[in-house]
Amino acid sequence: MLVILNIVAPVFGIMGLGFIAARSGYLSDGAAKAIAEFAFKVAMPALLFRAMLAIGPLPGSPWRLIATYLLALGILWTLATLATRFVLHRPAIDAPAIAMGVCFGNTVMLGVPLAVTAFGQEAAAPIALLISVDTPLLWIIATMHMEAVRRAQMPDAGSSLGALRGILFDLARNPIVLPLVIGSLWRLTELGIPKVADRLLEIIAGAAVPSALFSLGMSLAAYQIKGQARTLSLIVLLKLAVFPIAAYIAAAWVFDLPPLWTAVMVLFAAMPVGANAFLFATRYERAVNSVSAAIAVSTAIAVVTSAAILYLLRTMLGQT
Amino acid sequence: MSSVITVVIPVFVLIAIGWAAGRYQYFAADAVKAINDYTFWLAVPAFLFRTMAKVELTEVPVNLWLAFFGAAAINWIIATILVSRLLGRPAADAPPIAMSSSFGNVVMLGIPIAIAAFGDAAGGPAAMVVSLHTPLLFLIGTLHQTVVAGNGQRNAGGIGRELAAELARNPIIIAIIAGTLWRLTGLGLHPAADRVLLLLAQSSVATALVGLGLSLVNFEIKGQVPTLTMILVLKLVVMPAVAWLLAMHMLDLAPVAAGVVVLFAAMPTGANAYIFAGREGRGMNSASGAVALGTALAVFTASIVVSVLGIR
Repeated sequence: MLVILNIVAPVFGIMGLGFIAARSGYLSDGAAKAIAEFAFKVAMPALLFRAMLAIGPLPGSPWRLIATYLLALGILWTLATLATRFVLHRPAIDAPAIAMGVCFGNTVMLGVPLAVTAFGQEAAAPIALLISVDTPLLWIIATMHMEAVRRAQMPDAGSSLGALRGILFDLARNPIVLPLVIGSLWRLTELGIPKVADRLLEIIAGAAVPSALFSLGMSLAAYQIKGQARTLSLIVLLKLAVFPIAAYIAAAWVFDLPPLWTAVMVLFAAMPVGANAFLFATRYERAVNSVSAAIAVSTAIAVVTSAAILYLLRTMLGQT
Repeated sequence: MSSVITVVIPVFVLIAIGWAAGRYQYFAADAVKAINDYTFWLAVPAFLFRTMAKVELTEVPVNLWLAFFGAAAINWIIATILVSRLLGRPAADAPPIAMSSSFGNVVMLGIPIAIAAFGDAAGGPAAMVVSLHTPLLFLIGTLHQTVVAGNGQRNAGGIGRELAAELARNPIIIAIIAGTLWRLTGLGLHPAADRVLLLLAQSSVATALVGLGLSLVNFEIKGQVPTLTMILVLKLVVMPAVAWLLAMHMLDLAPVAAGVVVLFAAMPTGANAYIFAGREGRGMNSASGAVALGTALAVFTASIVVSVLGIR
């Protein structure tokens, strides 16, 4: 259990420092945004690019990992959509934003640091694979879902292809997706990387985890806990409890993934709601308050749940 | 040669990345302040606290301080003499110009290079130099100004109070003192707390250098050519040479301590010199030029120092 504390406490500790820094005004107001930009546009890309190059031979087919993820995602998205209609009695047009809150975990800022410290460098392959499909997949699903609902309600709402094209264009420039794509292409060339360039990337990558966590903590101070209690509870419950269970069933029973891959998959599924869900909700102005609150609440609860899940996963892997 | 490639080149490429990000507005406009705040108020203090909480200090490092601040003092005196004799400028210009010739960027540039060159072993000597660097040089500068101005308006007590108030708010000084006190309690660092500090300390290298690059966009190369040349020669050539003589041949410092002293002495003019010049409104253009051009030229001087020190 002490090992878990040593993994989880620093991650949430740095986040806590960021939260305190923002609340107390220790750092200037614009700092959260600027440090997040540094983390996302400079440091994380370097870390992910380097991780791509460091991946050894894969212990299984990457397609099985992606299929597992899709299956778990499909279950959760369906559950969230049904619950929006029949449990919360909200209009169908709220479903995509709520489902996005349920499915979009904070894999980059929180999942990567936890997975790397808990499972080591060997986990780089499933981490990189999941991160590279995560953002594009969810944005595309959510946008298609939203456009389908809009067209059903207003047949002449305009081209849904246009919305999708906009998303694809955004993704092509996404600083998280881009380095993973470039990194995997670079791998294929088998050119390797000169020592000086690697050292440079190493220094930048060293700043990725702390700056990401710190800015995450700072940004949490800005999310307000409001919105409907029922919607909020549903999102948090599905995200933190149901998603990891679905991911475990899909990974261990349906697709029979290697244990380490299962562990990374379940850990990522257990991550609290990520900021992208908020971006999506604000883009369509649906369930904005609930999603904003879900980010803050689920992140706070994740201190406990991620420690518990890590404990279970490490027991499963025989690392105690 | 390999140490130049693995230590110096990445450092300056990172500065260049920061500069390009600022020049072409890759970040939001207030990013400079935010990233530098993060570095100066959090990441570097974390590094210094961790260093001081762990380092084994057996005695007060008098020789280390003598070597570094001896070199700074000699530079200060030469600069003061040359301002009137060589440049023919009024005596009131001497303090800011001497400051630009002696105050190196030890925090944002020196610490990252020292970590890259010597690893964790650089922490102790680096913290020792940094702990006195700003206080001592600003004290000398302020006293010099008072003497030159020739009026008794600002008595010694006033200066002392001003300085103490300034330092009590300085995160670098607070971290060093807090770390030292923590070590004296004998509590040690819990592995989880140590990891938080280590992660933040690691991030300081990248954020310091990118932030330095970002802030360089605001410094223009201007000022009078003779003044600027003198400052650059004193800062980048004379000060490391004197420090090298003192550290290696007269005071017999341990290798890593000597290395850090010479490396820090070779650091280009820091932004604080510009702030100092701004307080009196004298020599500001030269200070701005020294920061911008000095940082660029430091690619070569830092490479030479790293090769001479024989870091592998």
